[in-house]
Order: sequence, then structure tokens, then C-alpha cells
Amino acid sequence: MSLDNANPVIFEATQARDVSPEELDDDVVDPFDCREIFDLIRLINDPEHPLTLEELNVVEGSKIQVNNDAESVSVEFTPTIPHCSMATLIGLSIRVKLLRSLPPRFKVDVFISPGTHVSEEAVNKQLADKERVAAALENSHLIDVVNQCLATRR
Amino acid sequence: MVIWTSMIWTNAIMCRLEELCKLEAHQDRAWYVAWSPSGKLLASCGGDKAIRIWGQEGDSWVCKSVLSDGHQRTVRRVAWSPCGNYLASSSFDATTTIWSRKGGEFENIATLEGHENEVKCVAWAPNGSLLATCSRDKSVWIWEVTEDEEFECASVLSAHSQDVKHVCWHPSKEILASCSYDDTIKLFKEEIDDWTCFNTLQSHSSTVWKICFDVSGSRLVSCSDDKTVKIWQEYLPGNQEGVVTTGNDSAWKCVCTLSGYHHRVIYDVDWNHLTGLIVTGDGGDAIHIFEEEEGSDKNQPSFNLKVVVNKAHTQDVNCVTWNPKIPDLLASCSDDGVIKLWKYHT
Amino acid sequence: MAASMLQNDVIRNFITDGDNSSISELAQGIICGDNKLLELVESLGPHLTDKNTSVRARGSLLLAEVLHQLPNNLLLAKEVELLCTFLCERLADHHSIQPPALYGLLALSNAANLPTDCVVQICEHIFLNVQNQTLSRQDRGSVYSILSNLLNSHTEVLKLRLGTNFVHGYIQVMDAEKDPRNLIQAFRCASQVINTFPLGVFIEEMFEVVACYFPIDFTPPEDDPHRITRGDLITGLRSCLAASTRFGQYCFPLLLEKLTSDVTSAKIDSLQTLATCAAVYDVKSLQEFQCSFFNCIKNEVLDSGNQKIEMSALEALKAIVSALSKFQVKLRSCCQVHLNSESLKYLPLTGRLLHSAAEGSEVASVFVLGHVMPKLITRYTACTQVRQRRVILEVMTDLIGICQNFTYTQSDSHPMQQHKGSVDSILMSALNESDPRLKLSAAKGISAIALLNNFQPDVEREALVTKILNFYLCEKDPLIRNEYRSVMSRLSNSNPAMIMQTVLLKLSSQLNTDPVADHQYLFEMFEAISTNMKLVSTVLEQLLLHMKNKMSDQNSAQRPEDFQLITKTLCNICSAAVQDDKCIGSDILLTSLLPELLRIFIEFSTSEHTLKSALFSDKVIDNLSAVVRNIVSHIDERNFKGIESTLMNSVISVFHDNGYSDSKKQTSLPFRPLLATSPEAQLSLVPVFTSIIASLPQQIAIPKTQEIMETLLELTMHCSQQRTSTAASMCMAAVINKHSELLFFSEKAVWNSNDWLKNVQQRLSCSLKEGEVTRKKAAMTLWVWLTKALVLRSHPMAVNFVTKLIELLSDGDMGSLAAEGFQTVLFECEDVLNKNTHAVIRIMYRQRFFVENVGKLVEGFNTSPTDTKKNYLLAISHLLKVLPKQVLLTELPPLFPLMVQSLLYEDKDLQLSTLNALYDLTHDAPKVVAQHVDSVIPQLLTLAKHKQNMKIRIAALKSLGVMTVLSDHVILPYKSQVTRTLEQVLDDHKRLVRNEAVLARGEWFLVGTAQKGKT
Repeated sequence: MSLDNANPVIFEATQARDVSPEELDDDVVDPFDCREIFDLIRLINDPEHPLTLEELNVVEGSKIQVNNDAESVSVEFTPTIPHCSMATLIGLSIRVKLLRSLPPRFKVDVFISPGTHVSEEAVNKQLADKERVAAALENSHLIDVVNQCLATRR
Repeated sequence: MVIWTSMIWTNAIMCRLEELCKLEAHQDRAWYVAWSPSGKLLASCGGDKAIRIWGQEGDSWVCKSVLSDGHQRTVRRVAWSPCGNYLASSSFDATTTIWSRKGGEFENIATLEGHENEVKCVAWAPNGSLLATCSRDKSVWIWEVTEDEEFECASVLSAHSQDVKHVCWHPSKEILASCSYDDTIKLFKEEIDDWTCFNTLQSHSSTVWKICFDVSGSRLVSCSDDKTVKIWQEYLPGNQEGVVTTGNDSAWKCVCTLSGYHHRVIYDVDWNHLTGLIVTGDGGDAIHIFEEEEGSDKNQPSFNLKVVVNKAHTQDVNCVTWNPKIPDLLASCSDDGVIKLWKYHT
Repeated sequence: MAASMLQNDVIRNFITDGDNSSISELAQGIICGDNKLLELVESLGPHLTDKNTSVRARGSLLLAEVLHQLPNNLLLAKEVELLCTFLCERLADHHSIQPPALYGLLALSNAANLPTDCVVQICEHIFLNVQNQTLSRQDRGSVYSILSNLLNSHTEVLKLRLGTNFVHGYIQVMDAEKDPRNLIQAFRCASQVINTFPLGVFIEEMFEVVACYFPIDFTPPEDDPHRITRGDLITGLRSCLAASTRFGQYCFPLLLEKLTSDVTSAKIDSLQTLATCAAVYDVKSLQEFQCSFFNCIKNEVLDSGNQKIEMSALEALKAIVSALSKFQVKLRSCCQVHLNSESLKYLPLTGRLLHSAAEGSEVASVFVLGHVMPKLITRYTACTQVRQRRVILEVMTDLIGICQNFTYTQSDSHPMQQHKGSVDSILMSALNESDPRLKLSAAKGISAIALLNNFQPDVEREALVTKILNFYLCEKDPLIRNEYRSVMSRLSNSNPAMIMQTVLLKLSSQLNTDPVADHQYLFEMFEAISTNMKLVSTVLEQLLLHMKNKMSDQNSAQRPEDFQLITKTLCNICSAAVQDDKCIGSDILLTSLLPELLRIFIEFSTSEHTLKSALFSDKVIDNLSAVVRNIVSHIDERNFKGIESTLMNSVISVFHDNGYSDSKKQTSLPFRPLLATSPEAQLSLVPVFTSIIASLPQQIAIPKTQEIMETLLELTMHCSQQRTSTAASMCMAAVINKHSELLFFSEKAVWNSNDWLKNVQQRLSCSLKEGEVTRKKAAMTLWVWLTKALVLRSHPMAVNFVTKLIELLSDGDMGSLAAEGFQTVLFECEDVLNKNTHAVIRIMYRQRFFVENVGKLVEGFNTSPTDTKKNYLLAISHLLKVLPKQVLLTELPPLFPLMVQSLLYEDKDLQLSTLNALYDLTHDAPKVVAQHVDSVIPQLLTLAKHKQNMKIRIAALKSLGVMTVLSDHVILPYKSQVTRTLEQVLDDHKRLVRNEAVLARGEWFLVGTAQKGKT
């Protein structure tokens, strides 16, 4: 199989988050913030390249929104090229990662950064359809591919 | 087309929903609950691949049986036959299973295969002789039920261009309605030996998740990913209003759109055949109840919000359904795996 | 002739009964001279000429076996010659005689007195009579070993007498070898042959006989006892291919062919071989193939998407460019295509190609820069998108960086010269952009320019350095600051005088002019430029001066962190300085920094001063102790110059003998830091004293050991400050650990440490029995540290101390302290009693400790009352954490149920310690853990929701996560329960807990899927 984008530009990975004194104090409540969500998804592996979504600039800290009161999280991602055939799979990986990592009380929206993909609307609609996502997760081939993206490389 | 948008909340204060009980029903999300025709049993299904039958013992509701060996994947939908002796279940494993109830026991008597992938809904026709299923494979299948409990495919309808989310039968005529990811609602009837689509209802701007007829069958309510609920009115050929019809078929018009109430996708809507109340469940964890304003114009009716319970569940509300015999009894279920029973107070 | 009788018996037994047992006896006899070898041959005679081939074979084998047991210088040349002729003749005998004959010749090929004629004779006979391919693996091995021995010790003879005949013979021998073990040897011989012999007409044949193995395709069997890897074979083969400069014409086409293969490993091997060979082969053949190679390499770099291939390709390119001074045409066209292409998609990779090419030689770098720089500059200027600019700038700065490798003294001018203006303005404008990565690239570019050789006049470079320093001082981005620091650090190495003049001066004036500003930047830069002795000493001077200024400034009281920062910086500079051999450092540190520092702190501790709390804070003292420890532990043991004894005398005099006097201020208090009743500030200096005493190399004597030990003992027992008391205990422990009676024989009264220990043991036992709690605790602390000191060196008295420590576990008051004591005893401590501070540490002391004490602990657990049982469990959990894997597997099973119990105890120390142990054990002894999952997993799930303590929640989640290393059939039944329970923990109010829950839950989702175990 030939790669869609054989030679992507590679971006540097973020350093690990510094631990603050508040984070060490059991009596302080740490709210969910953009960085925390970013840390959840930045290390997802790209389905095609031996690189992470962060290294490919598919996800960025600035394109994540968190509202603790409204219990909502929204993540925009940018496919490496506008006709990237992996956009749905990447979106699905992000969605599954957040499904596994965030408390279920959060409403999560995952969508393509406006104007960055030819099938933006179709992909967004699929990613928002939880019935389709649920069915995808019971498809053993698909879940293997997703798990591959989510497996942490050490 | 006349669209009346009711944005004003009126009289919502006087009514309330009382939570009667909470059942930890499924170890994964609970997709659907269905009352038996007598209103005494409740069947539920979910992501844990199991079907549970619930009944009342004294004051409390308990699980009477668990049907866990029918499906390999998520059970998406359960439906009671009009006689109450059969239960149909449809699953992501591409099959529909028919269970026969004898005494308290359920026995798997048939497995309907044919869909290419997830079967999303199953529905019995009011006379019990037909069964409809629909799937992500974009098709709707109609099955004939023979005297000796055999099920034969009578028709495969490929009218939709995307996966079909839901099918339901007209309460009195042999008309089937379906709604889909392609944003439309379609109506089917049997014509010289085969079933054909005779009407396509377009107005929603995204996936239509659920539709439901009112008790008369002349109205239809639909809910959608576009966060609106729509009321559709049937206009018979030669109607007074002058709505154009084709041949012998009625025309259906959207006469009311309820928008602004729901903030996320609406997964379910149910029309109470005893009281006329409409209930919805949505991805914002809320349950809403609407009532038609007394004396409102049939051609542009007004519906008022009577009750909203914002945190009805801790996660998405997937299903809300009125008890067919007890007018103020409501069941709901959610991604949190819980079933709740509610009493509606006016 | 008893000896001959024996000989005959042995011979008969060996030949007819196959009894090998007496061979060594026979050989021994020959070695001591009881028997003669020739006699043996005579006795063997009839067997060696027997009609039966199997008797002849056994006879030859006996001879060979004996020869192998003789030392290689025992036989005289004459004897060797005789045996050699005999064995060579056997090669022409029946084929079944060949193996023992070769075996015998193998022994002879090692002989010290091997005559040159024999060397030739052996080779000729092997080449003539031995069809190597018909022999067994082992016998072929003998042939290679014989040839290898002869090649190693008699190359000249073989070259002179056999020449190309040897080459031809060897080709016949090696042809069609298949066994990996033999191949390793065969390759070694072949590379020697190729390297040293005239190959003549056999050159192509010689090449073919080795090249037919390329590329190596070999996967060692799983339980291969010989451990031959694919890598070994590749290295062996490659050294053959690179052994002749003339192989190019044959090898390059082969490599080219394999480069186009689809097999990744073959590609990589070809590229690496190309890199090795390009440097060796004559230039002519390389020139012929350069275009083809360049195209292949380009394709691999631009399209393979495989990092390893890409790296190998770039290495090969670099080697080719180094070998060919004019490798330009191809580069030019490649650059043109990709540098001009609209998308910039290939720019980073083209950049890497160019980088490798430019790295190859000075000429190549001039060429690349000359062609590429103008294009990059034009494109950058025309470009509007930040993302694209960044890509261009990165390539640009990378290329500038390469120029650092060359001097360009041969060239007319520096290749960067003509681009200077435009590059400068690009970099300066990029520095003002908001995009942090673009800025970082610009910073890298500026740094690279500052490091160029022969590029700009000193004045200009100084101006640039000053500019960089100014940027540094106002930069907020840590990555960019780091970049600037590293360039200064490199310059301070290559150009210390300039750094001294520009940077150091500026830093110092900044430090003094702006007393309230955040000085962290300055300190970090000070640290960065402290790369050699001159700079270190000047920097230290500045820092001490600054500290003194701070001390005389009343406002400093509000800023205690300033002192922490200064001392921390001192500490970092010292630890870098003592590790760097050439800088050393340690003399100035020892003779000026150490005394000066001590003086400052002592002076302040004896005066009435409002700054005391800032200056004598725990953190500052810790830093100070670390500085002292670094200096003292690095006193050069081989090179004592008397400094150390002067130092010790004055330290003891000042700290112990009340010998401090302050000449300036007559009103000051006496300095008596080792007296329990002294002021707090003085007592807080005891850790510093401990750092000096405890870090000394073993050979350095401590004056007045006995008095000091008595003083410290009193201090420990009576001081109310816990830090002081503990520091005193650690000091005593370090002395005991390193004390050797022998070392002090020159002193008048030798201090007897055993007496002291007995005395202390008694005294502490009393204190532990009765007395008030603080006294008891102090006694406990000292007991633990002494135990550690003794256990480390396996002192005979260790057992008494350990036994008592175990007993103390059941003490209501002291039990939990005793349990913690096990951790102190078994874990390495940073401050004292470690390798860096020259402690006496016997190997495997932990294993010994475990084996000796685990039984007692389990016994103690079983018999002790409920309320102290947990102390035993805690001690055991500490024990388990330090145990090496091999011991663990046998010792763990009976202990594991105790661990499970420990998890159930509502005691956070115990639970935490057990959880940590469990985490390691799951990795090291999964099978044992697997037997207990039914009790462990539910308890871990409970602890993951532990209300009071986030550390427990985190540790439980870590252990849960690591459970996924167990086999699927063990844990799969728990998958749904674990993932469901952890869903709740995802909503923990602490982020650190949530992070662990996410990791653990993520792992559990993979249980039972194809992805598990790959991570």
C-alpha cells in the first residue's frame, strides 16, 4: 500500500508537563484543562507513519476546548493533507482514546478543523454518530487498527 | 410549508416528573427499553449483549430473566409482538432473534439472517403478521410471519441512501415508516405484490434518529441530530386545505418544529397514545415533555414544554417510552446502563 | 618400565574399549618427563599401521588428544616436524583417518616451535588432500582453525612460499561453507587473506567466494547455545568485502542490485556496506557508479518512510562524498528540483540529503552552501506562511551548523561569507516572530554562526556573543534560553578568553546592579560557561562575592530563596568540575572554595544576625553539604599533597576543638557545633561536618577519631534537633564503616572500634528499653545507621545489630521506626555510605541480608501480636524491593500471601511500600503474581479509590496497569470489571491520579487484543 503523504513535516514533541505543588496536594481539586486533554491524545500513533499525531501537527493544544462546568470537551484535528484517506480513522482513534480516558460525564466532540479536508462534513457526521462508533468498536479488524494507534510506544 | 417554532416555555412549572425507581440494568450502555402490550413487563437491551426482562414484585421492579445467549454483539433494539407472546431483538451481529414467551420462560425460536451488517431496529406490525427490520446496509426488510412461527422475507426495500436508523408501523393501516442517516423519513406501502416507497419527508438537516405516529396515525413526530423535533401532518387526497397530493396517496407536511429546547442530538421521541404527550430523550442527558396547546390549529399546532429534567441520567438518554396502559408512567434508559421509571404529575 | 606398562594399558583401553579416561594421565606423564612422546608414538606404532581403518583412526585420535593436552612450547622443533610429517601423511590415508589427523595438526599449528617447512607442508597437504566440503561441521572447523593459527603466526612464510597458491587453496576450502559458526571463522581468515596476500588472477574468485553470502539472511534458532547473531555474520562478511581496495568493480554492482531489493534488511545491509566500502575502494570504480548510487540513496531518503533505511542511506552518502572530492553534478540537479518545488514537501528530507553530503568533505560543504544558500534565502524571503518559513529556516541553520566541522583555511573565503548579510537579517527578523519554533530555529542559526571558525574577525564575533547574551537575558522561552546557554558553553571551551571578557563581565555587573531581579538566568549562564579551570575559579569568586554582598544586605531576609539559588549553583558547578578530568578543579575547590565557604557560614553562625533563618535553612544547608561532599569525595587518592591532612586538622580543630576564632569581631560567640546545647544555627552545620568526615577516601586518617566519636555520640543522644542528631548518627556510621585498625598503626593509641561498638550497643539497648520518646528515637536512628554501616561491610557484629532490629519490630513505640529502618539499611543513601563517598560495600550484601533474615521476619510476623504485625510486613516489603530477580523467583512464593495481607492492612506506609514492591514483582516474577490475581486485583481496585491518600491511589493504579503483562488467560476474566471500575477513577479529583488511571485503563483495554504485549 502506498502512503498518502509519504513525507510529512515533522514537529517537535512537547515536554512532559511539570508537576505543580497544587497537583501534589490531595485537598486541591484539579480541573480538567486543555493540556490534560492534549496529553491524552498527542501520543496517539498515526495509522501510516511511525509518528505521533502531535509530531504530525494533526492535534494541537490550541485546538482543544474544555469546559468543566458544562462538562464538555471539543477537539479539532487537522489531517496532514486535504484528501487524507485516514481522516476518519484518525478521528475515530481520538474519539476512542477520549472515550477510554475521560469520565463519561463529559460530552466530547471531535471534528476536523474547518476547511482542512475535502470530506470534512461527512467525516464529522460519522464521528458524531455514536451508534456507528459503537458498532465500529465491535468490529475486530477496525478495533485492531485503532488499538494499534492507541498502543503506547515505549 | 408552515413552520411554527415554539421558543416560549409556558406552564412548565406546574408539572413534574417523579423518579419512581432506578434499575442498574446493563454492564455497558443501555440502548432501548420496550413495554409489553399489557404494560406489565419491560424488556431492555444494551452493549453487554444481553436482554433483560423486568417486572413488578410488590412495590419494586426486579429482573425476571436475562436472555444472554442470543447475540454476539450489542443488542440494539427489542420489540414485543402485539399479542405479547413474542419478543424480537436486533443486534449489531447482523441478526434478528425471535423469542417465544411460554410461562415465564423465553425460548429462542428463530434467527433472521440477511442483513449485511448491524440491524438497528425491528418492529411488529399491529396485526402481528408482519415484521420490519432495518440496517446500516441501507435496506429495510419486511418479513411475513406464518402460522407455524416461520419468518419469510417478503421484501427488501433499498430506498434510503444511508443507514436506516428506525422503522415503525402505522397504528391502523399497513404503512411502514423509516428514518435514516440520509436525513429523510420514508413511507412505504404494499402495491401489487411488492412494497414501494410512496412518500419521502424532508426537512431535517441531519440524521433522523426516531419517528413515532400519534394514536390516530394522521400525525408523525420525528427527532434528529439537528437538535429539533418535528411534527408532520397527513393530508388526504382532496383535503380542504388544498395541499397537493399525488394519486391515492396522502401528503405529509411538517407543521411544527420544536427547536431551542435541546442542545445535543435527540435520540428518542415517543407519542403517548393515551394522553397525547410527547416525550424526548437527548444526548444532553435530559428528558423533555411537550403537550399540544388546547385548541391549537391542526395546520400549525403549538406545543408547549411541560417538564424538563436536565440530569435525568448521568449520560446520554437513549430511549424514552410511555407505558401503553398507565397514562403517566414513563421508562427511560441511558449510556450509564441505568433504566429509570418516572411518574408524570400535572 | 612401569611407565610404559601404563602407556600400553592406556593405548589398549583407548583403542579397543573406547575408554578416554586416562588420556590426561598419559599427557601429564609426558609433561613431567616420566614418559617420552616418541616412546608413545613407538608404542602406538602397530595401531597406526593396522590394517583395520578404525584402529588406525583411534590410534591417530589418541595421539591428537594427547597433543592437545601438552603445553604449546613443550615439543622441540624436531619432534614437531616428525609428528607433522606423520599426520600430514595420514591426510592422504583413508578418509576416516582425516578427522583425527586434522585434529592433531590443529594442536601442532599452535606449537611454538613449528618449523617453517611444516607450516608450508600442512597447508599444502590440506589443500591437496582434504575435500573440505565432505567433512563434518566440526572437522571443517578444525581446518579453519589450523589455517587461522597459521595465518596469525606465520603470515610472512605463507606469503613468501605459497603466495597466490594459498589464495587458490583457501578458496577451495571455504567454498560452499554453510554453517554459521564456521562462517564466522572463515570470514576472519578470508579477510586476512584478502588483506595480506597478492590475489593475482584469483581476485574475482576470491570476491565471489565471500560475496555469495551477501546479504546475510540468518535467524539464529531460539535456544542457540553459540549465540551467533545475524549481526556477527554481517560484520564478518563486511570486513571481507572491505579488505581489498580492488573489490570495487565487483562489489558496487552487487550492492546496487541488492539496494533495489524489497527486503528492508537487505537494503540496510547494502547501504551500510556501501558506507564502509566507499571509504576503502579505489576512487575510480566509485566514480563509475556514483550516479546510480546517488539516485538510489535519494529515493530511499525521500520515499522509504523507514528511519533506519534513511539513516543508513545518509551515512552512505556521506561516505561517498568524503571519498569523491567532486561529487557535485548530481547534487546540483537534486537540489534544484526539490528546492524549487512549490510544496516544500520534500524540503526537510532534501535538507537531510544535503546535510550528509556537505558533512562528507570541506569541498562538498563549500559546494552545497554555494548552491543551496541563495535558493533558501530567496524562498524564505518570498514565503509568507510561518510553517513553511520554519521548514526553510531549519534546513538553513542545519547547513550553517555543518561549517563548524571545517576550517576552510584552504579555501579563498569562508563559504558563508557571501550570504552573511542576508542570513543575518533573516535570523534577526525571525527572532522577532511570535512562533516559538521559528524563533528557536533562528536562535540555533545565530548560535551556529557564533561557533564558525575563520569566519569573522574577533571583534565581530565578540559583538555577536554580546548580542546573544542580551537576547538570553530577555528571553522567556526555556528551549531558546537553553540553546543560547549551550552555545556559550561551547564557546567557553574553545574561546575562554573571549567569554571571560564579554560574558563573564556582563553577567557579574548584572548580578550587582540589579539586586532584586530574578537571578536564575544569570546563575544558569554562570553554570553553563564554567567549563574550564580558569572560568570555574573566576565564576566561583564572583558567586562567593555575590553571596557575601547578599549577607550584608538586610533585605535578603525577605528573599531566602536567593541563598538556595546561589548554593545550588555552586553545587552544580562543583559536581561538573570534579567530574571533568581536564578542568580539575578539585584543587582550587579544596584549597579555596571549601575553606572560604566554611568560613562564611561559621562566621555567621557565631554572630547575632537577622539573616540566620534564611542562611541556615534546610535547603541551603543541604546544598552546602552537597558542595562539600562533592569536593571531599573527589580528593585525589593517588596524589595526596598534604592538603588533605592540613584540611582535616583544621576542620577538627574548628568543629571539635573550639579552635575557631574570629579576628575581626571580638564579640562573637564561641563556635561549638558539636555540643548539644549550642545555638541552633551552629547545630544546623553538623550535616556539613558529616559531609566532610563521611566523604573522605578510606586512606585519609581522621585525627582524634575516638574523641570525635564520643562527642558525636553525646550529641546524637542529647540534641533536640532531629536533623542534627541524624547527621551525627550518619557520621558515626560512616566512620565505623570505613574504619580499619590497620590504617592507624602509626598513631600512638589505636582506637578500637569494636570496643566502641560494644559499648554503644549496651548503651543504646538501655536507652531503647526505657527513657523518654525523643531519646528512644535518637537511639533508634543511631542503631539503624550503625546496622547499615556494619551490614554493608559484612562486619562480624552486624548480626547482633540486625537481630535486635528485628526484635524491635514488636516494640509498640519503636516498631514502625524499626520497620522503616530496614529501608534505610537496604537502600542506597545519597549522602553517606555509598560508593561515591568511598564506603566499604561487600558485593551481594543485600542477598545475604535477605537469606539470613527473611525466616526470622516471617516467624516474627506469625508470633507477634496483631498491632505490631504490620511492622514485620513493612520490613518484608522493603526486603522484597531490593532483591535481585534470580533470588526473588525462588524466595517469593511463600512470601506472596503476606504481601496480599499487607495490601489489606489499613496502614498507608505499609500499603504504599507493598504496592511499590508489587509493581516490581509483577515484572520480575509474573508467574508468582499470576497465582494470586484473584485476591490482588480486587484489592488494587479498592485502593485505586482510596479516599485519603493520592499516593496510594497512584501506586495501586500503577500496579494495576502492570498486571497486564501477565498472560491473557489469567487476566482476561477481570477485563470488564477493571475497565468499569477504572472508569470511575478517571474522574478522580487529582490530575496525577487520573493520568495513571488513563494509562492503566488503556492497557487493560488492550488485554485480549493483538496489541497487547507489543507495547
